Amino acid sequence: MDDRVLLVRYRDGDLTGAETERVSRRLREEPELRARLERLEWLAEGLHRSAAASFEPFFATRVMAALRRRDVTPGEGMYEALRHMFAGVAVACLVVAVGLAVYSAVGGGYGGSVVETMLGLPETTLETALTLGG
Amino acid sequence: MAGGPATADDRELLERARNGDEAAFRLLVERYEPRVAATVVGMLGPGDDAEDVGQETFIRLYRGLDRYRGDSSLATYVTRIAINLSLTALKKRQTWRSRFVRPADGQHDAPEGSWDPREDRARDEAVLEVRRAIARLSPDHRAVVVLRMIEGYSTRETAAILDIPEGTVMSRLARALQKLEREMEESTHG
Repeated sequence: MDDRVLLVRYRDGDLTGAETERVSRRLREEPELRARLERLEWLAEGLHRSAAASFEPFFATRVMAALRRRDVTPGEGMYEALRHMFAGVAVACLVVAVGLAVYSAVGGGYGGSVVETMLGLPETTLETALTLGG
Repeated sequence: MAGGPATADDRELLERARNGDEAAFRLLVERYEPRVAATVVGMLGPGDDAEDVGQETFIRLYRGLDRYRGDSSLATYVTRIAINLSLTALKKRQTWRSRFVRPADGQHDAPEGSWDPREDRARDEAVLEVRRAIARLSPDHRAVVVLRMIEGYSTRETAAILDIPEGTVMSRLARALQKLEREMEESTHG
């Protein structure tokens, strides 16, 4: 284990009893390790002091305003968002399917669709399609 | 430090928030703002980016209220969201720089662009030096330093938040500390 990491864990009391004893002994015997611990203490202090305690004032107010602006509802995770999005698509598909079915059922009486006329296709209704080849 | 399950108080506020009680969610925002600020500002430096990521962290928490089951502490859960959003923001920042700014020698994230001095309330020069040194670390190393050294998460918790093995946390920490030490000594001795 790298000495720096070892010393971080030593400072945090994150080592076993035997490991702690070994590091303590090394610190007594090795001035270089002691100097490294001092540097680490200095660095850790600087890092600790650099931590921001908050954002700018009224942060919570801005978060709540953003939630209202975006019309977010609690628990609206990805699954719910997709479900909402595809619910609309499903309704649209259903309307198109019903429309096509109605058109096919009664379409023969109106002389076929514009597309069929333009492409010179024979008139096809649901009835003729079902009896095709029969 | 914060690895246990959600506290009873948090659970009650979460339940109220799930039922649409905005005041309860606001209390959670106020409670966890310091932790999110420490994470996000540690990763991105103070400024608009950090504020945006901070807000987005709580919006994600709100959206995902149903998914949080309370088996890890809310602090850990929120920190995980904040660190992931910060890493994404850093990637976007680096992509932008790689397209529009000539790369500086060996710098991962130029500190000058990391914060707006008008918004930086930490006037202490030593604090600014530390932040500049952190900004020169790669995002992965920065995340380990912020979680392990600034926020005080254990190695195991840091590994869980970043979803990496404990050994990787150790090796990244060793390299990050070595670089920070060197940077700080250079700035101290001119």
